Amino acid sequence: MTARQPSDSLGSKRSTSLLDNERFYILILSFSIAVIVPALLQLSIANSQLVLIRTEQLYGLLSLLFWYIALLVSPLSSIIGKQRMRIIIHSRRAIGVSAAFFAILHGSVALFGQLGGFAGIERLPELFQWSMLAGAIAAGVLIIMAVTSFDSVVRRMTPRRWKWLHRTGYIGGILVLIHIWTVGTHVSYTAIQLTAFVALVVLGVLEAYRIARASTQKDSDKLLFSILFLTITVSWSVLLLFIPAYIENYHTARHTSSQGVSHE
Amino acid sequence: MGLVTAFITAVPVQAHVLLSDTRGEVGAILHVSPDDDPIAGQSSILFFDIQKDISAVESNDIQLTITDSTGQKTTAPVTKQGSYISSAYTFPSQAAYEIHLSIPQQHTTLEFTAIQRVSRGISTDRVAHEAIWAKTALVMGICSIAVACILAFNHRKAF
Repeated sequence: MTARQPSDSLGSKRSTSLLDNERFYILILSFSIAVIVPALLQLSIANSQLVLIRTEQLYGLLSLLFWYIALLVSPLSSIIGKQRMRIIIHSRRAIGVSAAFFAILHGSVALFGQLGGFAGIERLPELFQWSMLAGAIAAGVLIIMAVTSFDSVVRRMTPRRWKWLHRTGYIGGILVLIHIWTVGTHVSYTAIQLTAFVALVVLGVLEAYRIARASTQKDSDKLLFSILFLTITVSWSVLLLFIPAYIENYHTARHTSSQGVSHE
Repeated sequence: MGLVTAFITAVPVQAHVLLSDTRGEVGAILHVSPDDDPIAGQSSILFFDIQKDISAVESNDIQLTITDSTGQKTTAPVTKQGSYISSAYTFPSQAAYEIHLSIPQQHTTLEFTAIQRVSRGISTDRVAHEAIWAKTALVMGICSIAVACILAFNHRKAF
């Protein structure tokens, strides 16, 4: 008896066995990490409040890492080639689902662990409330993408509509950026800011290349390609550099202004 | 994994704890430096961001009391800027402390209470961790990753 072998988006035949599917391993890995994180923190930190804080932060970081990788796949494959990145392209849905999974855990620990439920939101500063709203919308976008990541949903929606829906991931990404910048606990440190800036510029450069190449198919359009590529890259980088100027960061605004008492 | 470890250990953190006053009407954000994990014997700074206008209150009228596990109370001096109250305090030894902030208002008093466990620095008694669930979860998590790695290796040609 032979298993039916459906073809993926790249046209290669795939086995229907779960153990032959790399997505399965990514989901197992994510679930295992989700179990290990609070266990490890519980065993290494005595303060239960601090365990909650660190768990929430690490789930947020993991969600961000998975989301970043998922966003990186498309532009990277347009440069490296889809065939070379075949396994990662096929894994992308599981990477996105993992990002949604960690976003739900991040939000749940923050809401029910740190804030004591929905009533706690009312007592937060206004900036926190707006930031949480941005984070919640971003998590909602991730969840919608995760729910619609099944082959049957893609077929029902048609691939074109499905792609358009999944492009809202970029809007979610910008909302996450706002969420992290406003109340993120690590972004006031120069090393973290530099790392995040470099990571976002890399993503911007790759996206700029993809957009410029898609807009200029002919070889004679080299000048147009260069102009488009440079314009998108520079605009994106400048936009990122000016975030501190137009979006308030809770820590910088409050802690350093307190009668000269500042903390590390 | 290295990035995650660095995230936990290397960088000082500015996370916050939401407090409610005793009547559950007013919120306050508490942040304790360094790292929300104060070190016994070293100075810590307690920050309170009160979610109510307290501009009419004088700093001298605000009381910050810290009570250790034996019931001994210490009053820490505070400074106020807008709705922001801060205080430098040195926790004497590892223990659980009750932090109580009292802000007199025109007709009532805002009272905030938080429990802060100090688990670094000078130690008088160290409580060992006996979280069985955490040990079990850790072993299960590591085992499932190991099994998944072995299975993935054996099925790599199908990817």
